[in-house]
Amino acid sequence: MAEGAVASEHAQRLRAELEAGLDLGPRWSALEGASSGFARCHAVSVEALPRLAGAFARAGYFLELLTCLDLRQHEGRMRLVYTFNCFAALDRWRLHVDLAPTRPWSGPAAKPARAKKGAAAALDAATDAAAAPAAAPLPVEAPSLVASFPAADWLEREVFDMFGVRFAGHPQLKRLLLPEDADFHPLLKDFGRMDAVAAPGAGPAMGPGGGADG
Amino acid sequence: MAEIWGEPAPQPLAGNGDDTYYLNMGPQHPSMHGVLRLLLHLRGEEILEAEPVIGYAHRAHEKMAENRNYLMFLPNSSRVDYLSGMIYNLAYCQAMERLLGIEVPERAEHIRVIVSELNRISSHLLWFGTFLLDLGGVTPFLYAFDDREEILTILERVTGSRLTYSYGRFGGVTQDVDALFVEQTLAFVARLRGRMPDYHALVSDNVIFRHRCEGVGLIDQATALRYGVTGPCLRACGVPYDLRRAEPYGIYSRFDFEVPTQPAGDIFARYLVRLAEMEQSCRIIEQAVAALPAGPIMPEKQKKRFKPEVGESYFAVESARGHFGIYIVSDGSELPLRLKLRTPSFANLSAVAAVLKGTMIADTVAILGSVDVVLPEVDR
Repeated sequence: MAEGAVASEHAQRLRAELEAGLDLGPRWSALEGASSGFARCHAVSVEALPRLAGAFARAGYFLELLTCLDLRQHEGRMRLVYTFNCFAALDRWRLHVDLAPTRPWSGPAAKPARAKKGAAAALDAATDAAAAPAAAPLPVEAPSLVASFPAADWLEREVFDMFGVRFAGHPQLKRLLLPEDADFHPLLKDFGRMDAVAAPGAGPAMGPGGGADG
Repeated sequence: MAEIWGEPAPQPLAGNGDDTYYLNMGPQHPSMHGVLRLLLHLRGEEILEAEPVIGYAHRAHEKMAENRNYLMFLPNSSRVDYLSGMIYNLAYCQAMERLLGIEVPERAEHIRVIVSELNRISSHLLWFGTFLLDLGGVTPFLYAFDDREEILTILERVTGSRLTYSYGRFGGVTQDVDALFVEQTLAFVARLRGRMPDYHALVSDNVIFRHRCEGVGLIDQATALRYGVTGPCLRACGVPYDLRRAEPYGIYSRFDFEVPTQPAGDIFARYLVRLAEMEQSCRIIEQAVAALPAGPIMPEKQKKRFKPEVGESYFAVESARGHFGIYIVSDGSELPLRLKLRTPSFANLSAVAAVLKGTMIADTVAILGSVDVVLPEVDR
C-alpha cells in the first residue's frame, strides 16, 4: 500500500538519523499491543533531547504529547515524557527523559499545610526568591523544544505550571492554566490535595493580570 | 474648553507612537465559545499578534484522577469535553480495558460504535449551528438544534443523560439497547440525510457565507504538523489522518467508511469536511446496527477493584475535534500515578495564534468558530 511505503520511508529516514551518534536505550514497553496505542519506548538523556527533537522535526513527525511524572518517591527523580507521532502512518515514539535528582521527596501528602507550602515554594525559587527556604535546591531544568516544535510552547508552559520544571530557551515560560501569581505546582506528589491552596481570606487574584484589571 | 476656565489644555495621551493598540477580547464574549481570552495587538483592523489566554475553565481533572481510584474517575471523563462526552467516556473505558486486559463482548462493541457516532454527529450539528450563529445566521442554528435534539432524546433514553454521559463501564456498557433504540437511530439517520440538501442549499451556496469563508483562516500542512493540529482542521488541509483509520480501535476496522478531506485549508474547507463527516458517521451507524449481534453487554466475570500492573499505556481515539489520547501510568495501586489527557482542542487552539497573525479582526470570530474549540477541553 502507498501509505505503508510512505511510512517506511519516514521511519527509515528517521532511524538513520537517530542511529547516527545517538544512544537510544530501550525501555519497557509493557502493556502495548501492535494496534491502537502502539509506541516505541526509549530512555534518552536530557543532553540528547534537542538533537533528537530536531531529527523528529526534519523527518516530518509532530509532537503529540509532553508531560511529566513525579517519580521522586519511587525513583528519586522527575521524568519528562515526550511522544512523537506521524500523520502518514502509525509510528509513535515515546521518549523518557529522566531529570537530575533535585529536592527530595518530602513525605506523604497528609503532612501539615506549612510543609507543603515550603516544598512547593522551593521549586519555584526563581520567581519568588523571598519565599524559598534557605536550603532551596536547584530547580529542575530541561532544554526547550520550541525551536523544533512550536507545539512545545504551550506544552512546556503547562509542565512548568503543574510541575515547576523549567525549560531553558523557552521564549516566555509563564503560567498557562493557573493564575499567573500562583506560587504552587499542584501535580507534584507532595503538593497535597486541592484544598491545600484555599487559605481563608488570602485567595489569589484569579486569572492572568487579575489584580491590574481591577 | 479648559482655557476658558483658566486651566491649561490637557495634553493628548502618549501612544505607542506607531499607530498600534491592544484589544482584549473575552473571556466573557459571546463568540469566544466558553471562556477564551484573546489579547490582540492591532494596527487598524489588522492583527499583528494574537495571544490566547486560557485556564479560565481549569478544573484540575488530571489532579482529581490522582486522588481517586480508576472507577471513580469515570464520571470525570465525559466532562472534559462536554460535546464529545460519550466518545471521551468510552475512550477512558477502552484505555482501562487495555491496561487491565478486559475483553469486551461483541454486542457492547457495536453499541459503543453506534452511540459514539451519534455523539459525533450531535457535536458537529452543534458546531454547525453555533458557527453560523457567530457569522450572523440564526436560521441554521434552529434547524441544527432541532436535529440534535433527536440524538439527545435517543441517547437520554438509553444512557439516562443528555450531555455528560457515563454510559461505559470497564468491559462494556451499563444498559442494553432495545428494538426501539434501533428504530429511532435508523429514523434519525434517514432524517439527517433528508436535511443535508437543505443545509447545503441554505448555507453552503450562500454568497455572503462563501465570501467570509473562502481563502480566510488558512491552516496549511506545515502549520498543522508543527502544532500537532488534528481532526477536521487537519483533514481540511488535505491530510487524511483519522484515528478510526490510522490507528483503529474497538471494532472500527470492520466498517466501510471514507475519511473526507479538502485541499484548501481555509474556513470553508473545514466546514465541508465536517458536513461530509456526518454522512460517514451515518454510514458507520447503519453498518453497526445491521451487524448488531445478540449477547451480553458486560463480561461474565466482573471485578469490583481495579489494580493494573506497574506500567504505562496510551490509548487514542478520534473525537469530534481530533486526536484525543489518554496516557495512564500505573504504580500497581488502585490510584493512577499519573493520568494525562491529550486533548485535540489544546493543540488546535495553540495553532490559532499563528493563524490569526496578519488577518483582519472581523475574521477572528469566523476563524475561531471554524476551528471548533471547546474551552473546558483545552483547560481540563
